[in-house]
Amino acid sequence: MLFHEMEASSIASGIREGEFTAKDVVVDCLARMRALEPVLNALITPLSENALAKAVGIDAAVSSGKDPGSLCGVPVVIKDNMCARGVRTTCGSRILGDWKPPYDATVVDLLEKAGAVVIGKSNMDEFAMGSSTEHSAFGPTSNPRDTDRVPGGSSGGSAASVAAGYAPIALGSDTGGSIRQPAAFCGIHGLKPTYGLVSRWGLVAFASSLDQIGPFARSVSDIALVMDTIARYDPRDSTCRPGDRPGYRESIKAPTVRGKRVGIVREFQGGSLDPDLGRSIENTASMLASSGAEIVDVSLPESAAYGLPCYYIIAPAEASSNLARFDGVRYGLREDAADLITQFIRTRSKGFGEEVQRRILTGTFALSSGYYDAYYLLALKVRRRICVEFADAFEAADVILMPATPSLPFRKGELIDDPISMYMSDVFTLPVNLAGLPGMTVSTGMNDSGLPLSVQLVAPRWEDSRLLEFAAVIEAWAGRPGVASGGVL
Amino acid sequence: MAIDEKDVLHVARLARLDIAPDRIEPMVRYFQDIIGHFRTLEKCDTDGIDPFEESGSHLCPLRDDEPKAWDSVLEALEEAPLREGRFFKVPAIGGGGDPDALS
Amino acid sequence: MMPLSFETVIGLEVHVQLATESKLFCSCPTAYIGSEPNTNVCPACLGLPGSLPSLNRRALELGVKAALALNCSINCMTKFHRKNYFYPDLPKAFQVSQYDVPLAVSGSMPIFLEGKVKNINITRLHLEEDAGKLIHETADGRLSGAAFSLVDYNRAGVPLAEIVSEPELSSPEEAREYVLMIRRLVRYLEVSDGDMESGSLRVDANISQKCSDGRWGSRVEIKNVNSLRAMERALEYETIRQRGLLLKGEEIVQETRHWDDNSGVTRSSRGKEEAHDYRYFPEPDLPQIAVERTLVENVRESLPEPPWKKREKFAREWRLSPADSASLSENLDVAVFLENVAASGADRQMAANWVKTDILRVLNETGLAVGDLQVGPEGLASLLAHVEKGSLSNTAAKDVLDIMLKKGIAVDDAMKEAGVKAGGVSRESLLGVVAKVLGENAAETALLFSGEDTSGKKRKFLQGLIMREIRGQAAPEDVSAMIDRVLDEMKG
Ligand SMILES: [Zn+2]
Repeated sequence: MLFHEMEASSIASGIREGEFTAKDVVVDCLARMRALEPVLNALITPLSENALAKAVGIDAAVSSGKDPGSLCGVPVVIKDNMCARGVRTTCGSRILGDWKPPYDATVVDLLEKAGAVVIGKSNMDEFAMGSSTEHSAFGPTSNPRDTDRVPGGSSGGSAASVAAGYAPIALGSDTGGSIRQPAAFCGIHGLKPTYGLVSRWGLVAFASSLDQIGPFARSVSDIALVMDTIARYDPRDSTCRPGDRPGYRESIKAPTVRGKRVGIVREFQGGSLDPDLGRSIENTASMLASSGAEIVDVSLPESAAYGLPCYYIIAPAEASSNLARFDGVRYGLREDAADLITQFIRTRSKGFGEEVQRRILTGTFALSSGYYDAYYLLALKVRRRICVEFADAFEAADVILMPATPSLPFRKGELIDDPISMYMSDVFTLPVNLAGLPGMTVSTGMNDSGLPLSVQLVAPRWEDSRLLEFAAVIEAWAGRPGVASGGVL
Repeated sequence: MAIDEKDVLHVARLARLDIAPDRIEPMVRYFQDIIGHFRTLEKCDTDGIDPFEESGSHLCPLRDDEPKAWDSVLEALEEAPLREGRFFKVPAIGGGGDPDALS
Repeated sequence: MMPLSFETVIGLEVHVQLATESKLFCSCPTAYIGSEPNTNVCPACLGLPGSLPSLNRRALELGVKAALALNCSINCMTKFHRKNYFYPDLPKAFQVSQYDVPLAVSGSMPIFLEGKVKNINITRLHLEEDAGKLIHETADGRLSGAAFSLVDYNRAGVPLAEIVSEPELSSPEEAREYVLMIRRLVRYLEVSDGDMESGSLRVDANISQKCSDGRWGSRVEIKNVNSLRAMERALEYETIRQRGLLLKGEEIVQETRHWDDNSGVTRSSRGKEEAHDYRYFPEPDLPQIAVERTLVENVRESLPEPPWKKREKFAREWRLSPADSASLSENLDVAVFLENVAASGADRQMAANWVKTDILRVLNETGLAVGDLQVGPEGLASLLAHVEKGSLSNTAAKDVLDIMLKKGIAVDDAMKEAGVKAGGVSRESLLGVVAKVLGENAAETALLFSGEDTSGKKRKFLQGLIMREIRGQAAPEDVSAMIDRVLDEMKG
């Protein structure tokens, strides 16, 4: 059986009902991974042995009549900026050396408690700074739909793993589009939940006020399944909202868009948007209209005009502070020096890659004396305006339908020397982070050249289940994305 | 305001980073470009906006004052690049003490 | 030309370690003194990647408590900022502190100096986390020229309240009184142990000079003052240094100077000004903190009378001497004990005398706290009632108190045990004892008889012997009268 093409929910139920074993599934997925890794380089640290041992344990539990949980025996890939106890965690950087976190991220703990089997830690742009997974100290990842192209980033390894069938689900983190953009490039679904819905405890921070963990999957129901597992209140993350979460699988049992208002963002249509992606929005909108939704125009002029500079002040500012702790004292790389300041400078200059250094410098600048008011404080004010603008738009619409990316996946190396053009990849995704909203990339098939098409859905805060409901309707129409060939035919 | 090499090197010093001589010029150019983008924000009407308003987010939860020992301290210590017994070890601070130190 | 004169202007930042069980942003125990290095640590206070802060409610309450006692206004919405700088004792390379919206602002506190009261305004009180400790290591154990430093993060993340005064202190002595009053207060409130030696209370001082010719010297910040004495010496040194510069017509550099206790000078830490760009920005990992009205009201209800109120009350209402008012208000438990002795019926002055001499002596000798004593305020009051009635002499009462303190028994039982009886000796037995003692000490008695004991020394001596014989169960006046009566009889 081709387990690596199955949905997580079918894998879990098949194992629970004794149709097959967790070991069968993990062996198949590992074989898939081994076959494609030389081409894709989606993982920084494969965890084959751990995964097999865990699978055997799950099979033993099942045969002794226990229920290991809703993700019973399901292989998962975790982005390498989430801590898994005793497993090397690199954030795609040299600076962490062989750091083995002595604790688990909350999401990792929740997945494992639900019976998931972590099969690898995925490749990423260093410290999640990038849109192509080319800024990794462990080499670039290739897009499994077209291996000459980038998988997007920064969670490119997780997206590629799911697209290529290493695992039906993976976790990524999204600060400015790092789940939604690679999902779009790899032709799968990806959800960035509302800020504060999923615990960040154990996620190595890039920009604390923007980072959020979310799932990749090849089906909407698998996205919902992961959300039911990881969306929990966690007192260790003070920005995680207290209280219960709705049942996400429940919300897609009988999905309907009838009577709902779908907002199309005037400013995000046309212009430099790839025509295929533009058509994808139009086609999706027509389908939704014919399914009983009302299509309305909404306007987000300030998000369009100011989102990018606003984000590229706030995110680097927070990053410059979050990444200051990498000094060679407590963990990770240390470059020897006779005095302390030299140790700090050498360690950091050698350990961080160029893009990370660039952003640390930008952020340090934006916070520094004399520039704080002109840049950082101004960006915070603009961020408030963007929040208000979205809130106004949601007076007119229940969901916003807009592109996830301005372009189809670009070729490797195409933008590597042009950082500011690379930043433009996130122009449609980062306003959603600035406003703390849930956003989801939904795959809408392929264009004539076999490159993935997608749309992005955005909902008001805490209305993540509304996104899933719309996504389920779109998926029923566009079809579920299949497993990519990964360059191996 | 134009950003020059001196400003970039000052920021690098603050960030404890060393920019290789051949990377200084491209970095200065990058700064000039990105700051050009930043300045578009000046066109945004932000009069009367409280930059610190946290609409939609909840208030900070408070934790009870109950001490708990962490059971994985040794694992954490083993990660230290340089260690002496249970201490982390660092080269001496040059120049006789840092004014930034907390008193 | 008029000679120039100067006014010294001092402002203090006092860091007080808050008496919580766990750290400010994680659950690690705060008891770092005497612990093995790096034992009370966790991902959060080691600054491990991926860790996040969670705020200790108790630290917030203690901060509110100190702020209310200092008459501050509490900001009902407060928040934390990050203060960014690199130092190995700072595990995240930023200190979580407060910046533009501190927990509390605009308070005041009186200090007492040379019989005068001066009100010092408090700018702000904010919460922040402590750093770890650095130990400098050399082959020969010297501090300077160390090749390596060792880092212990047990103290990292321990909660501090920083109390900032307005620059209204005008001398090192006033600065000392201010710090002492803060220390007294935090001990009253049980907000901190206020121990300067162990570092639970730390002071940074800002000092400048205002010259009579209108010049105002720049402000200099003094760090590394680890005791009250060091602070006074450093401020005295700076006063002289700054005045000297102004007299020579030189500028005073605005800077941070470190006190060197061994050589008795402050030293500039110049050349590091760039490091002072702390790049404060709001801590994104902590949402705003609502300081709820109920929390504030509950804390307000738990507030004891502050030390300066007690002191003023003892001086004004009780009419105790300034010295007694000060020493009896030093410690809250002692002050409250004294108040309760008086509330149980004892004369205030007498109660104050007894608490000051006897109770404080015992506390000093034994190291016990008032609450540990076997005698409560009611017990002491009932003893003092006997003294007041004259049924127990001071001497006898002290013996009885000793027994009460040792055995924890009531005054009547202690008197029995001491062999004294309430009500004293009968006149007959007193007469008998007096006659016996005078008879046994013929030489002294003769001097009394002949009127040669002009200094009264012999009479005192004899009276002492009699008192001992009767175990102090008579008032000294009665004994004296009885001696006269026996002498009269001898004459008769
Ligand atoms: Zn801790």
